[in-house]
Amino acid sequence: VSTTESISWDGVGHPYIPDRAAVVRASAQNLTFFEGVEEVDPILYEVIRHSLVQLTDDHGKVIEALSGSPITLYTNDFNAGVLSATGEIITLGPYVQLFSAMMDTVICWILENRSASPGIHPGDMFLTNDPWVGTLHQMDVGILAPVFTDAGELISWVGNFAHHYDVGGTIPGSFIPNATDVFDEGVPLPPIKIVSGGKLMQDVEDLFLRHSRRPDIVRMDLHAQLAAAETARRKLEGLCGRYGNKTINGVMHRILDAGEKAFMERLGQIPSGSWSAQALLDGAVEGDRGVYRVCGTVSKSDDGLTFSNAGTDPQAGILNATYATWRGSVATVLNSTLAYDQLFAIGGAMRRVRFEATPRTLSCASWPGSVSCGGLIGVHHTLLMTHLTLGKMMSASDSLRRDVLGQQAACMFPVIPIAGKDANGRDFGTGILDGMIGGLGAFTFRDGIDTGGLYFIPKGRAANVEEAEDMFPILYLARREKPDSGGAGQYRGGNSFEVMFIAHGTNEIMHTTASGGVGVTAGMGLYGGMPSCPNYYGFVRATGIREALSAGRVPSHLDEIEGAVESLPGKSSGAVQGPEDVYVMHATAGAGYGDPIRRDPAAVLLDVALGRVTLAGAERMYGVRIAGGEVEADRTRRLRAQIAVARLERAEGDAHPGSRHAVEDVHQIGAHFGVVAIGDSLRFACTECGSDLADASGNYKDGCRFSDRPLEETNMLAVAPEQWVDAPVVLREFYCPGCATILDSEMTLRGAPSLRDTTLHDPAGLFTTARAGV
Amino acid sequence: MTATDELIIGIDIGGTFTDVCAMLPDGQLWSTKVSSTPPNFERGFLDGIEALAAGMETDVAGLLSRVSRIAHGTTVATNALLTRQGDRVGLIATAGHGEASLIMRGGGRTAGVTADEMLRVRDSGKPEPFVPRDRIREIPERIDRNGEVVAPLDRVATRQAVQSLLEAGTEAFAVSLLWSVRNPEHEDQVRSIIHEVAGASTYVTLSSDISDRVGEYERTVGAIMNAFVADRTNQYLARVDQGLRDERFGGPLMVMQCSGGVANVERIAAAPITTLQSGPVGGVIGSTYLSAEIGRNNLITTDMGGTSFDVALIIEGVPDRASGTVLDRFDLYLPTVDVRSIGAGGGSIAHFDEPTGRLRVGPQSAGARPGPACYGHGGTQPTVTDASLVLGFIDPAYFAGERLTLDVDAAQSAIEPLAARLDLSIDESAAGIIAIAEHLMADLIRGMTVERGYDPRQFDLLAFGGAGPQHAGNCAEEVGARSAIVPLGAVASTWSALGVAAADLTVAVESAERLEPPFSADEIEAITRRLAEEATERLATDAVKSPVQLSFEVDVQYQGQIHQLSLPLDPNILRAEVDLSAHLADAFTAQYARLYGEAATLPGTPVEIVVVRARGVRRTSKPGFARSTRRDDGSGVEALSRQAYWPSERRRLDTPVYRVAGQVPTGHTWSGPVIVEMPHTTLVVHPGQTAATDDLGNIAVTFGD
Repeated sequence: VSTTESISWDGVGHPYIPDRAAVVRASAQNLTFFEGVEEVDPILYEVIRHSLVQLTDDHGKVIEALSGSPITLYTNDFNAGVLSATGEIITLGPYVQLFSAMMDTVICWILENRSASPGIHPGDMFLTNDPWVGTLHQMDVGILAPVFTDAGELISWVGNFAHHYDVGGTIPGSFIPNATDVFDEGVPLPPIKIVSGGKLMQDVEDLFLRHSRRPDIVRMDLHAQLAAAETARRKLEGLCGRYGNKTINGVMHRILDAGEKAFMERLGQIPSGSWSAQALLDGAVEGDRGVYRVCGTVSKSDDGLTFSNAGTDPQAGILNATYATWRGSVATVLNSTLAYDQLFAIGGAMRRVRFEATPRTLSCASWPGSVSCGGLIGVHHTLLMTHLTLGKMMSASDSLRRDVLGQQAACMFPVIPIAGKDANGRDFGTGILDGMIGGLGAFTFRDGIDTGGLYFIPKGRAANVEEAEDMFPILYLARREKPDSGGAGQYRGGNSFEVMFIAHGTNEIMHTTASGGVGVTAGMGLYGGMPSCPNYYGFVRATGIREALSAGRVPSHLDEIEGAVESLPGKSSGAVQGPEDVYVMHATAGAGYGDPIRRDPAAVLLDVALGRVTLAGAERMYGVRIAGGEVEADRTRRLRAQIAVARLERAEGDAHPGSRHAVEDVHQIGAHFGVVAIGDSLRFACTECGSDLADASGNYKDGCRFSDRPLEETNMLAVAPEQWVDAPVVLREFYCPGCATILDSEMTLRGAPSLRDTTLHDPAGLFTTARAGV
Repeated sequence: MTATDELIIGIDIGGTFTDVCAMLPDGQLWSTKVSSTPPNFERGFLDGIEALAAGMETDVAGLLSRVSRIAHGTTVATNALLTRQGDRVGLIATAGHGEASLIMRGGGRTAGVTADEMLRVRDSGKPEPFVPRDRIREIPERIDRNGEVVAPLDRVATRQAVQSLLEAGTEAFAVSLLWSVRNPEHEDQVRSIIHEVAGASTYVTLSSDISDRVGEYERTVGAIMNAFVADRTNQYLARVDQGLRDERFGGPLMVMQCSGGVANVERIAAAPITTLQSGPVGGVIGSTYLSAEIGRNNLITTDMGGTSFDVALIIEGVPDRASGTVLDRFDLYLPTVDVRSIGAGGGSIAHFDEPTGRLRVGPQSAGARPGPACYGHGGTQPTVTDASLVLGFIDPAYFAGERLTLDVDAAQSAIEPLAARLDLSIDESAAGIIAIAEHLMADLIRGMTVERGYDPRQFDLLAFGGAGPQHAGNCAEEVGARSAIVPLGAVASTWSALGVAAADLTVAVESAERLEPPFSADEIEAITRRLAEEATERLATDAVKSPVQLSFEVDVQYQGQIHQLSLPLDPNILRAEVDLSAHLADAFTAQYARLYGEAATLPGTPVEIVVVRARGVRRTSKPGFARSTRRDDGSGVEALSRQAYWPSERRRLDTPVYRVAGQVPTGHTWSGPVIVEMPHTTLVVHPGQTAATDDLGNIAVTFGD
């Protein structure tokens, strides 16, 4: 980590960013680290490694089994891990990947701040929910348990994190969409010792539970975590006893070293350079109509990757992510891309990932900013920046291009927090988690996956409609896939879903919206891929639904319901659903890859036939005309030509088509452009028509023309942003001056300078080293 | 034999082999194996009977005249689903909810896949739907969670939906309406309408007939898959039935179900999906049958084939169950014996994974074709079987009943590159492959026992299937089980067929009403009475004479939690003067503490009942097992020897090999290192392990002193 000003990264005023070596040196005065390492043969290595993975999986299963909240169960909003004595990640479970890079920093914090007082001893466990030490938000509660050898040396840690239903704050559920700062929210607790020498500290438990509206549920989850951690610790001690401490330590070190080595070998297949992206967020807090910019950059050098958030707006309202969230997002994407074969053991790779952090920003918020919605908002804008920057970086590698993950659905997670009293007068309060239905963004070689879940919570599920109705006083009129929701592109983003429900078993449901992305979508595409639809929340009021149902009419589409539509902003509280009101929601979907008019018309036809894309969508987004179940080839060709002409007619910029290069030997950089060698010079060129763009050491966008598109033209379900924000938000498209293919696009404000998104540090190297991995 | 002899035959048909087992009245067992004959599996069925008759030196008619019952485990339904060859199904669903089976709760990419596959997001995807969108029709109707009709069924729209599905080429109907488990009225009405419109012979599956559980996605998938396989399975069973009648067989034909019981062909016709995975379940039932005979109530059963290693638990003589299963990433509700698998079979491939520096075994498998390198069918990658062969654990000339001569050189060549990469000798590498495979097996077993609060030290491991006994001793020792048992000698390789023959008629019915404390004994008693009646009705048959035995269970959870435990419910307690709520809470807490530790319990938190279940059993007649009365002189055992590499000794030793062609001799003890060969299976007894035979023909391996 490096910054320009002198910042105390202590987890108090600013996020905690440890220097692990220094932490270990300092804490070694108060405790003894086990340092013996024995080389193990590959067979024993695999046997023990598998045992550690199994132990971790089982650790998670216990939490899953004993948890008291549907949130934890259905969203798998927990994870468990084994870490080295110094807090490097050895294994993680297949649950929420965001916790990937949290336990390790929390352990460093404990080593640094707790080894002297109250001390770290065998049988202890620490509890924390402090976002500045290392959680997404206060509802994520971590339990960290040191593992000691018989001789009292610290050899390892086991830990888990789980989302708790309510840890206080002004609104049930602890997502506070109108928070001014952290003092409106659940109280962050830096690591405190909740189990001492194997004994539960009742005073500490009481202190923790006292903050919650539902201490019964929170207690259930806490006990689940403690029991699971204790079981995992005993198993790890058992492994140490069986194979010897040196052997176990040897395996842990080898997992880290192997992970690091594999990661570096993969990075070796990527050209050196920097890739940047930006996005805009709508509304910082309830009632706000502002627009906020997040920026991300990844730089690849021979030492590893460096992520920067430079250019990101100052922290605001509830949009904030702490450093832990940002780093967790990076680790999450790496787990499924550049470290997919490490079985969630991300510790080795993370040795080669650095952060240039600017504090007091949306992606690295300082105390006392509001962070309670970090799990719904902060996670997703940091994931978005990681998807876009890593995606662009990996697109420049022939061997890794297919591993790119686009932005997925349910970004700005559309949880539906509801509360009230049921027919029996009992309080209910929960979040409906249909967002788990998700949908994957487009890949670079195939479409995203409609309603394909959230890849970073691989075992998460939406509840069945019946299960949800059994738990909450609601009745669904519909839950279905949403056509046209996925971002258009040469490869289409996966569709998301829509739901409609009425109150049933209560006369009144209080609704909160706590994410956003309703005016400006967070589903941004890559290299010409279009954005997905934004989130939508709203009511149809006074519908006469009860009478309709009694009469045997069961409306299940919006156009079958009569009444006044009332859309909800992305952050709101206190909206009431009465007996005749229908609640309607649809979620952001997966974003696209590449220019949609480059999509195979046959693929569009299939989408239409299967109901994934409407006829109108085929025409407007893809320039494909379909009639009588077939593509009208001539009209489609003409329509696409018209679209291309229109793009260049409205485009700004003084770039003009120059020379055309042969592109057979191009090194591809984006979906539709790359670098060609022309004699001694290296030039960016369009790979569709060969048009020259710019010198390869410069900015290819200098050779593009561009146009600011109204957002509502970029997705069939997009709304005019002015409905929710005051700033002139547009999608700026960059066109090849020769053939008008969209080479890239960015969410920006009309008149704002364009982002330089791709910088090659060594273009000549493209034609030597970068191909080595092919 | 006399005409009064009553034989019981079990036939289990798998994808490759058809296993046949006959139980004689004196407890003698006869078994044989023939090739399966897909897609016309009934030919293999009759081939099997013929082979059995030949083995018993009689003809088919002669054999069948003495058979009192034939029980059959079929793979037809499984095969139809795996090859996607079944009926064109149309789905009728509640308005607004027709896409549940397409959305798959967002889990369609990851259900049942390994962690490695989960992480390879770019290669992941949802399975092709069995019912695509254009054969789904939504109808206006709605029932709520209390089973109350919110919107009446629109009969006109339903007729139109049926008509339009017929026009779309629908051959079989699945009907899945929300909350049909709490009120099946609308589903019943839809069935009548389908029969009116499409004809009374049209096959209709109602989701409420497949499962009693809340959860429309898994129930819908169950209904769809049932409709998909129904015609093929039922026609197949009809052909088998007819074939037997043609041979003048007059006894009952029973069919094995994945729930662990058999049912007659008429019952199966309503829900042929229940024959899914009945082969592996048959093996577990065979083990249950044996467990009573040998007085070992807690068993870990293991079955190892070419691609997978299957494990199930028998607790206090009863197989552990699950309420659903995963098939090709589809979750479905289907009451089943809980058989878990990992990709560690004889054909599992070993490879060195460069990015992680690991020697990995499986889950990729060479399958049956090309199979292990030593099969000589063109396989070049080293497998577990190749490793066994190289180490000398299996005899190249005496494998799988001498069907195949194995190529040792090919096995060595396959392992050689791996050995070079590992910088180990070929023997050491082969031992490493086996060690890892056995560790994977042990971890699965450990997960299934320890994680459910069972102590493996109170279990014996039973190993059947061709390859299992090679690894049984080490697996059992690794998990700390009391012993590893290879059951009944030659029958071990046709174990599923024995289980099928021995299976009882079983049924489970449950009520999905949620009951909150304080519990009313009267209310629960009314439910149990209703369930008892239904269970009894569903077990009605002339094929079995024994009475219906009923038992009851409740699934209980802490209020607010979703994790449930099943507790036995003694009906007498409902009539006794006890505080029912306190009684259940205490029983729940005790089991909870056993599973998760005292610290996890939540004193003061009320418990609620989410399911009340009745289980009905009608026992089929079984002869028991024949015990050898004489001490065998071992004349049936051929003593051989060969060089084998023993990992614990780190060297090759001249090792005694005992080849048992017929009956396993009684009262023999063999101390490892030793290899015991039977026609279809090989038992490897490592140094420090002892194998002993009993008077049933079981071989038990024990450890240490």
